[in-house]
Amino acid sequence: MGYLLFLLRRAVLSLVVLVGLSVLIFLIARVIPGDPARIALGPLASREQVEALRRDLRLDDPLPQQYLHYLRGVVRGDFGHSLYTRRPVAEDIRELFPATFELVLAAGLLAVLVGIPLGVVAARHRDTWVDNAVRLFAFAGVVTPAFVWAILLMLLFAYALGVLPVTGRLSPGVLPPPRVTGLVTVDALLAGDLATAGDALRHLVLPAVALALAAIAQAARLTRANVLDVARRPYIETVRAFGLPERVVAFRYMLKPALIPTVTILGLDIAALLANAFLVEAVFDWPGIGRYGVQVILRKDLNAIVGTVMIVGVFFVTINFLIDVLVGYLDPRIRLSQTGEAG
Amino acid sequence: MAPLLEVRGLRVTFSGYRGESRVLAGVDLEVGAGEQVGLVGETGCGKSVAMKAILGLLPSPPARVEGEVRFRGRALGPEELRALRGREITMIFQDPMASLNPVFTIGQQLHDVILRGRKVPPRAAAARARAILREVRLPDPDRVLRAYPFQLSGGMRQRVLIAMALVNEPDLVIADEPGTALDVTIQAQILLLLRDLVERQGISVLLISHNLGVVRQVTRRVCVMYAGTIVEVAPTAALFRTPRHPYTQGLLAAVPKLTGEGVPAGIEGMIPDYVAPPPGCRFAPRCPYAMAVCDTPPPAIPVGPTHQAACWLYSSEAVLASGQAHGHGR
Amino acid sequence: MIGPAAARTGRPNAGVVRSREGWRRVWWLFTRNRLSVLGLAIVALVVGATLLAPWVTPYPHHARAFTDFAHANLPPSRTYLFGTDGIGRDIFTRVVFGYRFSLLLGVVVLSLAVPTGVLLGLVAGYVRGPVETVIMRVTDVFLSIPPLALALAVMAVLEPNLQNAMMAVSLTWWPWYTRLVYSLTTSVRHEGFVLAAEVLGAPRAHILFREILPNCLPSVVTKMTLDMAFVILIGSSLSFLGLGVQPPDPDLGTMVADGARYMPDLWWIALFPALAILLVVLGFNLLGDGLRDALGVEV
Repeated sequence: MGYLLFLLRRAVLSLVVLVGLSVLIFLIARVIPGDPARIALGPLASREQVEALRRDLRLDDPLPQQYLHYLRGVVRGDFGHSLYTRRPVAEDIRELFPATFELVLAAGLLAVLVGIPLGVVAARHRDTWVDNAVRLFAFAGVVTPAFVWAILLMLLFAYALGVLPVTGRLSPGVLPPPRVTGLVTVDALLAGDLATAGDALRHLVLPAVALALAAIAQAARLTRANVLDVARRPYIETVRAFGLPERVVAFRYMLKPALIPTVTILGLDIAALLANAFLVEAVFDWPGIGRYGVQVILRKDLNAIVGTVMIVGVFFVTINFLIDVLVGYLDPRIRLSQTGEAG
Repeated sequence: MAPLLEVRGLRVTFSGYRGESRVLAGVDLEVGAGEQVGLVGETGCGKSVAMKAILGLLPSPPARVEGEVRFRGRALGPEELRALRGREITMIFQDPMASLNPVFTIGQQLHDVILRGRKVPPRAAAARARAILREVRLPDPDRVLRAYPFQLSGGMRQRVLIAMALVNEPDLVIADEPGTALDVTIQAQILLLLRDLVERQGISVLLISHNLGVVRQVTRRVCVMYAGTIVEVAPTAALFRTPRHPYTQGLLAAVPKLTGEGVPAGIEGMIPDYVAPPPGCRFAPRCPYAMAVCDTPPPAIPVGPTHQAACWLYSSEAVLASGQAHGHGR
Repeated sequence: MIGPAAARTGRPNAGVVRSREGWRRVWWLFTRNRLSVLGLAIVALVVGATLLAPWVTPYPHHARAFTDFAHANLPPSRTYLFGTDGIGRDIFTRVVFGYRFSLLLGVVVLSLAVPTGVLLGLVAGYVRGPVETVIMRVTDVFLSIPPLALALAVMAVLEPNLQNAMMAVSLTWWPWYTRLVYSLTTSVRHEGFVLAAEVLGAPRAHILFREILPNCLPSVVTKMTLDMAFVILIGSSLSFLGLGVQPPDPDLGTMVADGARYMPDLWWIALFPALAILLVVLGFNLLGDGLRDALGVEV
């Protein structure tokens, strides 16, 4: 019961954050210096065109009215039209977000399934070559920006070794599978089309790895540090003093308490994957919301910017909420309301 | 009869930023079967280090351990020590909040300890868990088993630790400052409980404490420790009645009493620097009776049938040879 | 007195460096780790090169608007250490000058974000009540959004240039310090020395700045060092996307973006700026980690 209440509180908070974000974005977009319509159309557009756009964007209405119109649109999923693609922004998002989601999901899975075990191994073999190798890798991962990894990986695997493709989600000539989730690999598997799934996977590998490396490195580092920290705690000494074998000590007693701070911080890193996706998509020309986002930012395409920021905001809030759910499950102190001293 | 636990010449050195720290300089200890022995000393004298060294719990770098530990007459290596831990030799820790894993229930942790003793089916283990919790006088054992450490009071947690130490019917329990983290009244309850349980079951106890009152209540024999050396060993009553070593005398004089005059005197000076300790008796720099011979380590000299003091004052040759005892310090 | 850092790390003197003896111990702990010393050396090297840029580079005028198509796209050689780019500028020179922008960004961002964040954290942790709630809720909201994303969002509505980039990144950075100082303040709030000062009637400002703040300094300084690395990373990411330093000013991120187009044939145009970013971020990271270990703090 305490757990559900805790989740409910976090859900409400998430909603508040989303509303706050929508207000913030709205205000920033409307308050920028200069005429948004003029900036979007450029210095060569005629006065009539600028006026028309101003009317279209309702830039002359009083601010609260603009906000209401905007809010109604957001709730309906209507962000207006993009000047860049000349389509409804909502349509752009619907088409492009799944590609980014596929990338981020793959990278997230890599971070957790590779990073955490790596950290545990490093902690258990502390100060040996295994530990040093992991620490070196983890370090390199954290200090290297995602776009540098992307370029290095591209150089190595696509150009030098020629094993993996460089751009796009599927090779030219390969038909995309019927769209169910928008995730090409998943859709291909659902359709039973292994060949296409394989091709999609080959295209996914380099960008996902480039995106994931920093998160894998961070996960390994955090896990290692937290496992080592827990290992020093008195309650682990208690268990050792009772002669429990090392393996039991490590995997039961150390892992769970070590995961709590790890997951909390890692959650932020998973969210950051979406931000870094902007960089990776630029390098690999991946048709996702990241590449779209950079283009509309450079073009000052207001509606598209607002739509992109909102969808990214929803994603972050959702991830944070999921992390709260997970941490609440792992840590009984958070999940159970304070019962106080029981005498 | 051979003592249950025998420690000979225990030496522990740590390498630190200023050099080698010689924390334990040859500790000798004995605990007989069914005997309750106290190990007393001030903070920083090395009691916890000695305890961990005996149990084989000191990480090998940075610590270096030398000396012999015998259990039931057999000298023990680290692997054998580990096999005994949790079964024949158990521990009660100082801080019950820190010593219990916060993310597992009491039941889960107790269960693992029980299984360490012998493999029993879950139902039998659960019954055993409930029984031992009742023995340490915890009401409603089922609720305690389901609870997480933070949901229990300090006193309850300490009882849980005692339960964990006793559930596998050990031969020797080493208790590190039990109840220090608790209210004085709760601590008194806990100590009485402990004494009661060990006397009934004939369990040997090595009780480590800085609190003379605690030691007096619970033990039959006391070892006084100072700066990594044992300075006096005596039956508890004798120690309090006729302390022989100058340090023990100073310690007892420093205890405030309800009767008598004035503020009790402390012992002047500080514990030595373990990196550059005094060459002989480690208490010599603070000792009012220090002599020239105190620059060599004093052996444990018998001053009664079961009473020893590591002090040159009790060696007639040493006293005669040095003529008159000097004044305060050197 | 055992401070919060000491309780956490188990080292009684952690987090409190007040005496000369304390500093010497910190130095010993720091130099014990070769990697930390390496970090210090790298940072010293980069900072030195940046300050002396016009004198240590062979072609300082290449750092401004300059073209020399006769010598464009040349591979690394003795005359052009890292080769030349698409319009004939020496890459080595531009990398060293590029460091100037990276370090400038880091210094400005931290100068803006750290005092703000620290002040808010001190106030929130000490004053408690509704002030605390407001400050920390806002901080939490900012912290739930990754720095790069927030910076991108702010840059989305501003002219892309260095000043705006600095402002955008500063805006995303202060919450980390607020949270750090808040947690340190709340754990120290009830320590003996604070209560003593309150009982003696010391004004709030004194308590905050002369009693509590010094306890936070080791953590804050360590975090600042680590953050230099992170800020430079974010800054170069922004420039890579075209939202930071604008041409013809040399910036490591922009140079990588430019060079990416010529891959893989003219590999040096992108590779050397990329390695330069790696080097400076590595240096600050190693230095920060070393400080963290030597001072015994958590960040």
